[in-house]
Amino acid sequence: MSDPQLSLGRRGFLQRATAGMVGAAALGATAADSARAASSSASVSSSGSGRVIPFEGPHQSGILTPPQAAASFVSFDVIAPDRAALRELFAVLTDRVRLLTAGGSVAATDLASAPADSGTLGPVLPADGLTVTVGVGASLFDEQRYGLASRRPAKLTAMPVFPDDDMAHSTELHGDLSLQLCADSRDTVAHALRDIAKHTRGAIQARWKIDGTHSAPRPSGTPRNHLGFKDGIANPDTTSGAVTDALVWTHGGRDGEPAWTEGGSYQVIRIIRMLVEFWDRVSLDEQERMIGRRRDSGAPLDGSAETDIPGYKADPAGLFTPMDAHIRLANPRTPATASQQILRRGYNYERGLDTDGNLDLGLVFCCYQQDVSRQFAAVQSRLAGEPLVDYVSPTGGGYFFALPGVRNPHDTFASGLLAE
Amino acid sequence: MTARPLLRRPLLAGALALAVAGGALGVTLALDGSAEAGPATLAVTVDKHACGAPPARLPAGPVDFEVRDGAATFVSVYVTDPTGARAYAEIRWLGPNHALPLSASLAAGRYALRCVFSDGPVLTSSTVVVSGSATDTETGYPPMASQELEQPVTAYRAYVAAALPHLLDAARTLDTDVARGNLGAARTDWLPAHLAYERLGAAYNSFGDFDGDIDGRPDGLPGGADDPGWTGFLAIEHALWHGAPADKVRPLTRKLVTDVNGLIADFPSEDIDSEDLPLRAHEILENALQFQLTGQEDQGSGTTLATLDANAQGTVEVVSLLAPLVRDRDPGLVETLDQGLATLRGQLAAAHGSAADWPAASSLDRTTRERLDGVLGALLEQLAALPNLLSPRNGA
Repeated sequence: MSDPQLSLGRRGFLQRATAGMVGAAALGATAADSARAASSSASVSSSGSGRVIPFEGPHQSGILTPPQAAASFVSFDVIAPDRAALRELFAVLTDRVRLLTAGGSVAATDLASAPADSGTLGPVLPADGLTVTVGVGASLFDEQRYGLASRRPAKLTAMPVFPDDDMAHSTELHGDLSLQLCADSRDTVAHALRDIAKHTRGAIQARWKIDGTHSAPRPSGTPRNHLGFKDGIANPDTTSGAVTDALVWTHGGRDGEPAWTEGGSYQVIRIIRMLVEFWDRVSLDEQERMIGRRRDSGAPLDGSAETDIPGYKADPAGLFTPMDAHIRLANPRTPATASQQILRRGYNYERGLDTDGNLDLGLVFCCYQQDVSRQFAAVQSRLAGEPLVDYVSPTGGGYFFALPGVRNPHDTFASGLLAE
Repeated sequence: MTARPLLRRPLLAGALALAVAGGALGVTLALDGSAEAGPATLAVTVDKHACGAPPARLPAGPVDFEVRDGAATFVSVYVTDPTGARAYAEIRWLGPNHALPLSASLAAGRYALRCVFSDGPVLTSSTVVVSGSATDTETGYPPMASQELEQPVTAYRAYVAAALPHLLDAARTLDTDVARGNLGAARTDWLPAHLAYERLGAAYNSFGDFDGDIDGRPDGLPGGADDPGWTGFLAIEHALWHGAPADKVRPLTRKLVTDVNGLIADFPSEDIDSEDLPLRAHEILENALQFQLTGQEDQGSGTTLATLDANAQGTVEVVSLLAPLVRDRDPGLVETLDQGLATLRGQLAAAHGSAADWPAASSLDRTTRERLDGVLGALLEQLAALPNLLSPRNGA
C-alpha cells in the first residue's frame, strides 16, 4: 500500500467518507423520514405491493422471513482502500437498504445530476416486501486487509470443497461480501441491486450473481424444486424463539464467538445445478427412493402427508425409507443430530443452456445456522456419495456470516464488527 | 472542501403544508387525487407578460410546480434566485399550450421563476420567500451561458490541432514499415500511432466520418472483420496480428495516411458543438469501459489497456479545459475528478509494470480487474455530473 497512486485513491475515498459523515449527522431525520415512508407505503398499495418488512431489529430480515417470490444472491469483493472506507461502505449500505426497504417518493433530481433513481419502479418506490440481507466472507478478515483477523466469526472459513462438488473451474465461488435481495416481484429486486451498486461504486465490485424464484405451491404446501419434489418441508420452527436461538442465531461470547456476532447467522449459498434431462429419464420409484418422499404429495415414504414425520426408528433396515435416501441422511431425526438442523431458504434458478443444449436449471441452496461446522458441514458430509449426487452438480457458492441486525436509527451494518 | 453527497435520500412529505400555503395565496391547486403522487402541485401559467404568479411565501422543502406555457413560443423555465445567480430546477423546453412539472427542494431564501422564451424575451416572476427549514434541500448552481464554453472549445481545438501532426507522423511511419515489408516494425509502430489518435479524446464519432474511417470497429459492417469497407487502425491491427501479408496491409496503411491528412485538412472548418465538450469529458471513458477495459475492441494486439490509458489522457485534457467552469459551480469536483483520473492511470501503470508490452485485458487477474473496474466505475459516476452542470442555460 505504499504505491503513491493508491494513496491518491485513498484520499479520494476519504473525501467521500467525509460526505458520509455529513449524512450520518442527519441520520435522525432520515430515520424519521423512513418511518413516515413506511407508514405511507403501507397505505399505498394500488401499484405494486406496499408490504413493508421492518428493516431494524436484533436480526436482519430475510432470514426468518418466509421466502418472497424473487431473489438475487450476489457476491462482491471489497475494494475499499482502508478501514475508514470500509466503515463508510457499511454506512452507505445501511442507508440504501433502509430507504429501499421502506419505499417512498424518489428524491427530486438535482439540476446537475443524472436522475437520482433509475425509475424502473416508477416515481414512488413500493416497499414490495423487499429485504436485503448482508453477509461477510472469511476473506474480509484476512491479515493485510482491514485489520479484522481477530474479529473473524469463530466458524467462518472459505467454503471447503466437498467430495461431490464440481467447482474446480467455477467463477462463482466465495467473496468478501454477500447480498441476498428478496422481494415480492422481480423488478424490485433488480432495482434494489442497481441502486446499491451505483451508490457503492468504487467500494465493492460484484464477483458473481445468481437469480432465483420461489415457486408457488403446486397445488398446496411446500413449493417444489426443479426435480419436481417439494423442497424445504422439514425446516425448524421459525416461530419459536427457543428453536431459532438454538439453531439459527449466533451468540457473542459462546462457542468462541466474538461479542459482536450476537444475533448474526452463518449463511451458506450453493449453486446446485440439477441435471433435469437425466432426472426425467429415471423411474418415479427410483426418484422417490433417492429423495425419500412421494413426488406428488411430498409425504415421507412411510406416511401419507408432507407434514408426517418419517419414523426411522421403526424402519431400522430402510424397508420404507432407504438408509441412503436424501432426507434420511440429511436429517436422521435422532437426538444426536437435532442440533445439526439448518434453516433452508433456497430458491429455484433457471438460466440458459449448457454446451450440449441442456437446460441450466437448479437450486440456489441457501441456509442459515448458528454454527456452519456443526450444522451444514456435518449434514453435507453425511450426504457425500448419496445416490442423488449423480443428478445434481454443485457448481458454486460460498460461506458467509450474515451480520447482526441494524438495531436503531443510529446503528449501521457491521457497527459491532468495526467498533473501535 | 465541499462534501460531495454520496447519498441522495428521497424527499418525502411536506406537501400538505405547501398546499395550504398555496391555497391561501390564491394559486390554483392541481390536487392529484392519488396518494402516490405525493405533494400537491402548484399550477402556474407563463406567458410573455409574466413568468407565472407563484405564491409569495412557501415553506422550505419540496415544491412541485406544474408549468403551462400560455405563450405562442417555446420557453425554458427555471427556479432561480431573484437575480438569476443560481438555478435550482428547470424545464429545458416547454411547448405552447403544454404543461410540464418543475420540482425542487428549497431551503429558506428568496427565489423566483424565470422564463427564457425561445424568441428572446426573458421574464422573472415576483419573488417567492421560502422560510423554515428542511433536509435535503438543493444548493443550486450558477447557470452557465453557452458563450462560456467558447474558450474551452477553442483551447480543445488547439490541443487537437497541435496533436494531429504527431498522429500523421506516426501513421506515415507505420505506412513506411508496411511499404518496406517490415511487418515486425509495423506491429511495433502501430501502437504509438493508434494511441496518438486515442489521446485526442474522440468519442462517439466526434470527428464525423473520419472517426469511422480512422478507428472504426467491424461490428456494424455486413461482413464484420472480413468486410472490404473496414479501414483504419483496428482493421490494420487485425491484419497485422492475423498474419496478413504486407501487400494486403499496405492499402489500409496508405488509406490511413490519406484519412489523417483529410482530417487535418478538414479540422479547421469542422464545427465542434460547444455542448459536445462536457459530454465528451464524461463519455470518452464510458466508451473505454465498454470497449477497452473489457477487451472487446482488441483485434489481436492485446493493447486495449493502453488505449484506455490514452483515453484517460484525453479525458484529463478535456477536464482541465473545463476546470474553471466546473470550479465556479461545484467546488471540489475538479479535485475529485483529478484524483480519480490519477488513480486510474496509476493502476493502469501498475498493471503494465515494467513489462515491455501491455497485458491484454483478458489476462488481468481478478484482483487487478476488480480494482480497475471499481476505480473507473466510481470515476464515471463523478464525470457524469459534467454534461448537466455545464449545460448551457442562457438567460437563466
